[in-house]
Amino acid sequence: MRKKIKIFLISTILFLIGFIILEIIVDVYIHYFADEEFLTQYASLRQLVKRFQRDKSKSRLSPHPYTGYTLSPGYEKDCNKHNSYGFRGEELEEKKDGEIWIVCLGESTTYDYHIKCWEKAYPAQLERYLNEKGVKVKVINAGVDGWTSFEVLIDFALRITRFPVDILIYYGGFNDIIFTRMVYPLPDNVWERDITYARSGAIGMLNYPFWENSSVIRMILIKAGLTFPHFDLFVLNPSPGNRFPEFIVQLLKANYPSGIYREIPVERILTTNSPIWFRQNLENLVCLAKSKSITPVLISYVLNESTEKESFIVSQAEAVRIFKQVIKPAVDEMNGVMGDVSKKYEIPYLDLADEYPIDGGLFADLIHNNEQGAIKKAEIIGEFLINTGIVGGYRNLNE
Amino acid sequence: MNRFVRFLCVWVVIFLIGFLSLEIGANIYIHFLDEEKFGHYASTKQIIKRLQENKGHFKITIHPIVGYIPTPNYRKGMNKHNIYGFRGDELGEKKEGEVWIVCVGESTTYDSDIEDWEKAYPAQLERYLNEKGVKVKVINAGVDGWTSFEILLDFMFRISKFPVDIIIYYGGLNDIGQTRFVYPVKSKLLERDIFSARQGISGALNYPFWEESSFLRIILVKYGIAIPHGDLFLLHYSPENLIKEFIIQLSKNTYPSGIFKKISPEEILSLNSPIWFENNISNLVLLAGSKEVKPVLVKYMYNKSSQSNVFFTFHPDAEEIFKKVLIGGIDEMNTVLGNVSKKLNIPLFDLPTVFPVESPDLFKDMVHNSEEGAKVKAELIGDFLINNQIVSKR
Repeated sequence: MRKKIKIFLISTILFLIGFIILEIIVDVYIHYFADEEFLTQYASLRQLVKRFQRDKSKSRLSPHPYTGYTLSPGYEKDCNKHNSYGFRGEELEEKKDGEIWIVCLGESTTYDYHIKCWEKAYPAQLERYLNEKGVKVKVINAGVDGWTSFEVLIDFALRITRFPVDILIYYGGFNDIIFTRMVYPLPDNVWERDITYARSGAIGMLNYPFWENSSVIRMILIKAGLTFPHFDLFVLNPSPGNRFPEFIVQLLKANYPSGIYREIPVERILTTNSPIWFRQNLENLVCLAKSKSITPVLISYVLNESTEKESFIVSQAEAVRIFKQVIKPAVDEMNGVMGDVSKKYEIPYLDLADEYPIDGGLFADLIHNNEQGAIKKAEIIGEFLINTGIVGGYRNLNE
Repeated sequence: MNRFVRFLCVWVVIFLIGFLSLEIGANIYIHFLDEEKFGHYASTKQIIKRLQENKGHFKITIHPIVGYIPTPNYRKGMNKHNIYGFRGDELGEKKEGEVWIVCVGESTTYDSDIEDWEKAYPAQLERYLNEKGVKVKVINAGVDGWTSFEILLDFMFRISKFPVDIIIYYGGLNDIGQTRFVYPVKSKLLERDIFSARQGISGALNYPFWEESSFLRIILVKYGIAIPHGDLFLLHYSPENLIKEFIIQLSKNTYPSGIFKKISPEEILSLNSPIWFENNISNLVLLAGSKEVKPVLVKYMYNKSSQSNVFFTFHPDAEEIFKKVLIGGIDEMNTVLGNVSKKLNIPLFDLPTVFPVESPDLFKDMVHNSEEGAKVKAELIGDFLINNQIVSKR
């Protein structure tokens, strides 16, 4: 009996020592050596935060008190870079006489996440195109992947309005669909509907069981698909009523519709949750821009409809089909809102979705352009700005 | 050797069992603490869990953008929030000819030292104007601890949904401590970002790993060696935000030492001119104007002779130092309000010049009004609105 206890005690201690050593090795690796990809997949929220604080310029994203995260100022990797203000691209010099400053606001499709070099993203291509046409402009790429119209508006109000900007171009809406509209149930009273029904801030970020504080256990669970990477929790911070993660999990496991989606299909959730926040945010963006003598330009969102195969988040053919079937009408609805807002406030609206070629060769996936696509997008937007007289003999539409 | 290993094993096991028992005991102790002590000793995760489990029981609720908001439907004693999280009664439908006024601001608008919601200045303003024959509904949208950042964002995301006609802004104090005590600062103004003062989740989790242990955290917080996680969570200061250090030195009576031997708080404030405050208030005013909401700015007042400085109890000398810094900061914020009102041509009410600011009965501390003070404030603001024809009698 005593021998058994002794063996048990020694094995327990050996196991604990082994586990602690393994934990220390993994922690040291994550803390000092892991690259960004590994970090975003396996690091805990605290480890991510520590890395952000220590190597600001080495992490592409930094936490932010109001937008959750933002682009790290001074970040450089290969041919990508952010300037000292955290915009993708080169440093901004003083504004020159007669120069027009255009700021492109939006999501990953403005940052042009799939385009490695900052110079090939659509805002940089737009600057080149307009300058070649003899219009003296500086184009700022203020797009941030994962941002919705909430973060775009916050960033505009708190940061961008401090710059001498003349024109703002907004291209977005996709993230609003997946991050803020797949919410069920919602209160009937529209005034009661608050963003807290979709995102829960720190609650959503720290919503993981205590054993995930262990790096070893966390890595095993993430690798086995049994838990979410903490970086995803940090970016999405979903509320319990936000059904987007569940939708994606079901698509990945090929068991959609099950669970809540047997009760209510995702299309109906989107219909119930009409884009009231998106409309309000766009209206506030437009009103604030106009009151600061900045000309707002809205651009409709383009989906790659060239083939049925184009993937985004999910890649299995049936999952892609369902995803597209859900997303297409929702994107049309968001574009409808942009059209309404542009009419209401008499501001320019470019229906890019109508003008952009249906050509799979211009896309990297369902929504993101490749370099060729970004050139095409820049050209169409540039022509629109010239043809409508927004630039080139620049006229401020607010005057 | 064999004996030594056995001895070591037994002691390791005893230590682990002992520590585990203390840890379980500490967690049980935290679980049964009242709201105030819980916020002091609980970990960030424990606070979040409790806020989640007892949504209606806490005055504040976590918010993904502004950090926290007043809890909708909160009730305690004579205080209450409506379903939208505004302090006071339900709003109901807007009646014909009714003017909706929203009071935005900090704890001096929420009137956190006044227990009864009906005695806070916005509710008294509604009563006063209605008695004068002006048909109004006044919404109290003040929130303790908020700066002009949260106020602007709240206006954009929540208040602008309501059919509001007039917005009254009264604030600036929280901007001083929470956003302007940053050192060193970037020389380029445009490179200065709120991230240098507050860091969101990064600031909330800025504690060493051993503070995950409830037993160790309680001891460290009790002896002033660690900062309560509740404070980290709500204030999420950056390491460069020196307000915390300033307060610790005043409390310990060691001011000026460390960084404050090199640079004074006044110099830090002058290096950090209120550029964000000016930007936020301008944007609030412009956005309100573009939505046909009339903005009114009200200058901030303080009671110089008050014994209490709002936040902390210090030694009398330290108290004077702290008050002097606050007063200098408030005067500067009031100048900004004046500049914005001139530049954008909107009404500015110079409340401190007409309010009996040295009357001790009208204040609970240096800036928070008593019920009587809130009444006087409401009457003076009401008269200003009537005399300047911002509202008119039926």
